[in-house]
Amino acid sequence: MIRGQYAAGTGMMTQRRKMEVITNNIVNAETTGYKKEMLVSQSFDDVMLRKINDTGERSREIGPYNFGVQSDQIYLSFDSGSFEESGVQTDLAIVGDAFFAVQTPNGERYTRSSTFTVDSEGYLINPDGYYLLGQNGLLLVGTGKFSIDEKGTIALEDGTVVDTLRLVSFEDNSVLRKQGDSLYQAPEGTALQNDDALLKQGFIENSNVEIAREMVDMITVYRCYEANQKILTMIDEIAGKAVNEIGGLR
Amino acid sequence: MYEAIYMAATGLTNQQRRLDTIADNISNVNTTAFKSSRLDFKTALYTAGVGPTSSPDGNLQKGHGVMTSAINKNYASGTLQVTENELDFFLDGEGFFEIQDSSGKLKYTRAGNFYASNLPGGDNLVLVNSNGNYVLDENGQQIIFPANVTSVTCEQDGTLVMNYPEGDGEDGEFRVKLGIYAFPNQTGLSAAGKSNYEPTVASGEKIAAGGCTLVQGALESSNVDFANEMTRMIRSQRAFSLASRALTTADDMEGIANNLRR
Repeated sequence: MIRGQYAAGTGMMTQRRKMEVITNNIVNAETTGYKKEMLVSQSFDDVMLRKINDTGERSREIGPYNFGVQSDQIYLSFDSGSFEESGVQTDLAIVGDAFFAVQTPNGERYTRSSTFTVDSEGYLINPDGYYLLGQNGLLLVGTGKFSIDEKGTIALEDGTVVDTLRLVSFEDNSVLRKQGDSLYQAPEGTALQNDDALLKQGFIENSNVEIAREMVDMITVYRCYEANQKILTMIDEIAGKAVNEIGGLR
Repeated sequence: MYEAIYMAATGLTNQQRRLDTIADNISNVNTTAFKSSRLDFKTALYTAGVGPTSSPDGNLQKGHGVMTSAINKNYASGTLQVTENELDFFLDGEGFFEIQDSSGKLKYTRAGNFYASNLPGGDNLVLVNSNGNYVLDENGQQIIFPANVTSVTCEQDGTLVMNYPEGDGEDGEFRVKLGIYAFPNQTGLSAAGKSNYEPTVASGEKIAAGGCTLVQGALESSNVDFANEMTRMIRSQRAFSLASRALTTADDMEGIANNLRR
């Protein structure tokens, strides 16, 4: 009986975590390049229940049982978001499974965020001031107009080629970790040069969050949480009866 | 306390901020040379969680809502509107007029609706903008009209040519070049209100505007794309109500936990 109470408690805790992940998706539904998150839960390891002090050979094992549920991992969906034309020359979107590389004080980071800008020295930077990287390092585009073709080659108005954007992809995107500011971190040496992805200048990639899906998930989580609470209260009432009413003389 | 509530609140605050930006754009749709702004979002901090039995390689990075990444102005040129007013100027290309406010501070604007005003304590007229700030020439001096000016014309490079009678039947000609400047990074300029901009560290120091031509008798309209703003407003409004729904749900869940023991 008390086992069930604990299992229902772990259910509530896991649903709360799920709610946090769903909320994060909902509030980032308008964040450029945001990739949605899903919390995958798993049951605790099964244990075998046994009868004790039972002399019979046949029925010693009752069966498997587990004590509840826990969050296993957060799965990131790297599906592409929708594209929106902005006409701003520093808005860049990637079509395909690739990332922009930016240089931060803590090393190279990756992003799908589409909005960049030019700093006072003429380098391409992201809104946090980190340099966008090309094949040969920083990208000096100066103050005028520039164009970027589908392969990521940056050319100035007079035709001078500056560099080609460094687009990277990973053998397995699950090595990527979100670290805030719309940046991803990856273990050293896992970033590979990507030649297949196409670049679109003047476009913004929206998040890949589907609002309807998040609402459905939110409702499910809410009801599941409620059901777990009902079970918990019910077990509590049964325990209350056992404590207070069994053996009571009326 | 329950983090989902705070996360939902970041959604509300930031969508509200974007709605403010959109409202500013929409209300300035008819402002001369107004540049529309766009607010972009980024994810807030992530913290690593550890599952009791999950492998250390497993991803349990938990997000904490949304933040404002930047509010950037779009400096694309607005359309040319012909006014046929002698002192209305349209800047074709990247550039700003230099003006000086009453405290002597230099500011920059693209709104070229200028006027002739009486110089305090003198008979001469001086070129000012709609706020009464002095429009400066290429040397940073006020532009004082010669007496009895009959006409003002302009040349593409920004030179104003003023004609006035010299008394002997001949026409005199007074030439002055407007101070027109560009910035290395114009998105770094800070909007100072009244259609003026101020340079910042991010924008860099002013430089001579190359490839910028002056058109007389026309003004620049705002570059607000009304349809775009309306679409964005609807999206922001939806995102706002969703975040508030998430907040209510998170709060209800808190209520459920609170009612565990009655």
